[in-house]
Amino acid sequence: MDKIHSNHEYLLKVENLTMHYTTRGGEVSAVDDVSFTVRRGETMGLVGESGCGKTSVALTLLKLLPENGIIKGGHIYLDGMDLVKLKEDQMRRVRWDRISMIFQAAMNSLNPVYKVSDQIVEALEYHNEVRTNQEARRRLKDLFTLVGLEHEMLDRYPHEYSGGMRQRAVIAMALACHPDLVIADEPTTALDVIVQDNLLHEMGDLQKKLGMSMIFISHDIAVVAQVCDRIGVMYAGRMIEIGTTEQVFKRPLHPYTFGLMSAFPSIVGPKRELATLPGEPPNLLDPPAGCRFHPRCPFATEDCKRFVPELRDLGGGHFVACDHPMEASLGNP
Amino acid sequence: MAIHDSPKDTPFEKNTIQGNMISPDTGFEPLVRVVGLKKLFPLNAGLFREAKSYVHAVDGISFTIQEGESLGLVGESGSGKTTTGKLLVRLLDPTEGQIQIVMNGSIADVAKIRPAEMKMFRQSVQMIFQDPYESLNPRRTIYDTVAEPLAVQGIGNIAEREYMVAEILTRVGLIPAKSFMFRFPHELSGGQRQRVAIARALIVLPTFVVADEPTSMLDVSVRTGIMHLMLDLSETLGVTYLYITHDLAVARYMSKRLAVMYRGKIVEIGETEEVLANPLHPYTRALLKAVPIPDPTMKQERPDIKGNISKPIDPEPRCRYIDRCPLAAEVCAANDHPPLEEITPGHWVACYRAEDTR
Repeated sequence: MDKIHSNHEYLLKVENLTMHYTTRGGEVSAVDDVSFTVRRGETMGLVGESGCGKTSVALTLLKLLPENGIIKGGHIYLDGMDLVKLKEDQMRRVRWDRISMIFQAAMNSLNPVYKVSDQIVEALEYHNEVRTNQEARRRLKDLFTLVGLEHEMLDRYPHEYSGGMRQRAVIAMALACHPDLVIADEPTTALDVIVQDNLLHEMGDLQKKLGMSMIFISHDIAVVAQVCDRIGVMYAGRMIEIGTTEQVFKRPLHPYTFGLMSAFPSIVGPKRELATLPGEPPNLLDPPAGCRFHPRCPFATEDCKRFVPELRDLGGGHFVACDHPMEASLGNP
Repeated sequence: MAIHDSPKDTPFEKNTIQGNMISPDTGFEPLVRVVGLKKLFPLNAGLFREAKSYVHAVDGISFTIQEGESLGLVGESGSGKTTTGKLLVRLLDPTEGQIQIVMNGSIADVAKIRPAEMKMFRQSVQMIFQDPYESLNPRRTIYDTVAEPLAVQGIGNIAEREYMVAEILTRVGLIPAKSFMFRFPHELSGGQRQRVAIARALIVLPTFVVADEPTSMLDVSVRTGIMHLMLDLSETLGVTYLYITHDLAVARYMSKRLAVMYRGKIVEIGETEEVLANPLHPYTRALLKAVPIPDPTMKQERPDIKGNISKPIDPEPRCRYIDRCPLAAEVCAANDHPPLEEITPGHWVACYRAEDTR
């Protein structure tokens, strides 16, 4: 694994991260031996279906796990500092100040009984970013301008915002302390396409302007294709493919990635037959042995049922965790 | 309710087509014909207080669906798609307008169906809902859920019903059917639940089904399976869909014709591929440009649209799209919302400027 992490241009290096949820039914292996990096100023996409561990990775990075979520091993290096080893009070200084998060359900991440301005000021005050009320007010106005919200919305309550405006307010909150890394978890999923298009472009502009890095989590590969520099594909708690967006889309190496791409409808180009992936993602209480994709994989061999494939570089920083990667790309136009 | 003692074969009165909005009978009767359909919801109405304003959720729409030619209905949230669907299956009563559906060879006026005739209507027209986690009763087994329409319709005895349930479960891909019949919804995945919902809607062999975002809650790898299933069943069982979705790419695969709704109005309707290739309404063009393309090398033009969709509360008599439209001109403000006009054969658009900007 050390090949991916050979130099220091990375803002974030995640190594062999493993996280389990303990439940009455047993241990759920939600994040299993996941490694990836985020460069400065880049947008790294995490794609996969529900339950594949995308959000669990995000919560682990911020150590915002519920009580039954336990980090079993691995490292999260932020500029060389291992977040896994930090105590909660040290972690609190990292959260929002260095890494912040945009949650999917904007309505749920805003407190309905407080004005939006008060909620952002709270974060600013906690991190000693502002000393006086006037200063806070000035920062708020700057933030609202930045995300394209009218200043008159500052003293309104969340229910007075539309869906798109709420998501902007949540973005403003995430940017309040100038973080190095923003984790955006399905930030536009609940929005209509036109609002989504708008917001995605503005997030891209903001990111360039502020020079921050971003982890963009989505189930929608079309959104990821438009937004991300590199992407990591997750399946059943594991990272199964990493590459530049172009590498992964033009030449998907993992059979799952290939299946996902061929199952995705598009409004452009000729109307091609959509592929169906047989079966359903596995139950992580009792994941299949060996490669977790083998029960659904058309290329699975006896070895796939026994050995976990390593994530390996097949050239140009295109990593795949599959022992039969080329077969998947044979049918790719 | 006299629904239980009505004779099973109540003949529907054959409704005559009235009004000049309907084109003369071409001898090719559509399965569904909607004329000037309106649904207004009162705002702030009370027992002794009359509503002063109304949400025009569906504001005078007309369209037809031919048998076997599923219609896709797309638009943003709040555009009136779901209200239209509910009106068509009579989960809502229209404020104005007509819905005619061919049932057993005669034409039924959906708004005028009497309670005693509802049972027969429900055998011909069914609905599939968006969320399979909400639409199935968690306390009932899959068998109970799927067999219920048969019991309501009085079809078959217990043994026959069990056979029919097993058959439809097999058809929707829940195999072996016997192992699924006595399970509960919580034991199934989202995709399997949606298959149960489809089985329940189709077990009475309806001719017309309103499917309201049936795949929007499902993951991509599971979604394609449900889309293929619905297309297969449409062919083998002869079902025609009104397929409601916000996802244009899904609509492309599920419907032969496509209607685009905006603030309670249909702004464009035509063959799906034609609408996608040659969108005529500025709103359709904006929508198409906003849809993300799963190809990183394709950089799209930005959609040319201003502001946000607003609620259609007491809309002024002018084009509903005027405040967001890059083409808005005097004619759009001076006249009421434009009527649908056929620009090329089968391709209709409601825009005063469509001809100028083609």
